Amino acid sequence: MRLMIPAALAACLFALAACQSATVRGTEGRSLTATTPTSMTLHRGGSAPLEVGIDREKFTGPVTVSIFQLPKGVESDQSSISAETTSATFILKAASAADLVSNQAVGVTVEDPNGRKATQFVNLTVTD
Amino acid sequence: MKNTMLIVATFAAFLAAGCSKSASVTGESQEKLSLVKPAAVTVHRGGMSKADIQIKRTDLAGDVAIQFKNLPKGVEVVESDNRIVGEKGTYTLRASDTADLVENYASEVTATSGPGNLSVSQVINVSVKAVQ
Repeated sequence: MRLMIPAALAACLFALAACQSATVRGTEGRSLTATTPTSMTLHRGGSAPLEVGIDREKFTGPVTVSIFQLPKGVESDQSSISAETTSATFILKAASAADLVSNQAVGVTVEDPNGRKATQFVNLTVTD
Repeated sequence: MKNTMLIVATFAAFLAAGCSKSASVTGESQEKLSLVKPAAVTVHRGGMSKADIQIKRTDLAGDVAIQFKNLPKGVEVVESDNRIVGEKGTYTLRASDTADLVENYASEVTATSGPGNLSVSQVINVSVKAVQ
């Protein structure tokens, strides 16, 4: 039991360190925050989910989440998602001949209906 | 030819309408929460598949929490905490390479919201297939 608490704390710290966020603030205390993992790895021929956390302050409604700057040979199941949720997930697929890249910045933008945007970058690595 | 196309389109629309199911609950203050989900989801071992969930609310504000239960062994929901703030949400199911191969496995999706935790559940049939 004594070991479990430090282990849980370490896991939380690791989880916090593995995510990053960008916030755009508007009038009347409104803000929009996009949270992404700092990095992710795809294997050629494989797929993995990229989950984007969406935090709205003092407003509700849909936001548009879009992804850009993917390496050659990597595709997303959708280029943009209209999200009425607190997260949105892109499924990234690497072709068997996808470019092998290390920490290439892939952009994710969350935009509210008024045009406010929060952009964050994920370091994507594609390996064999 | 035009008539044939029209009939096919009508039939397709009918089928599409029949591909989702809904259930609803009404609370003490007549607040209402309805859950519409696809009748079935298929995911391949090692792959992912998305399921669209729709919510309809009456006199019910705030986030709606969605929870999947009793998924086939080896299948999980990617999103750890994905609440619906509007009327629809998309959830990603991922099957491991060794997930149980099942056909129409009766899983459950539950929507919960409101101060009284108004809750409605529906069965969603999940199939896991081998990689082709």
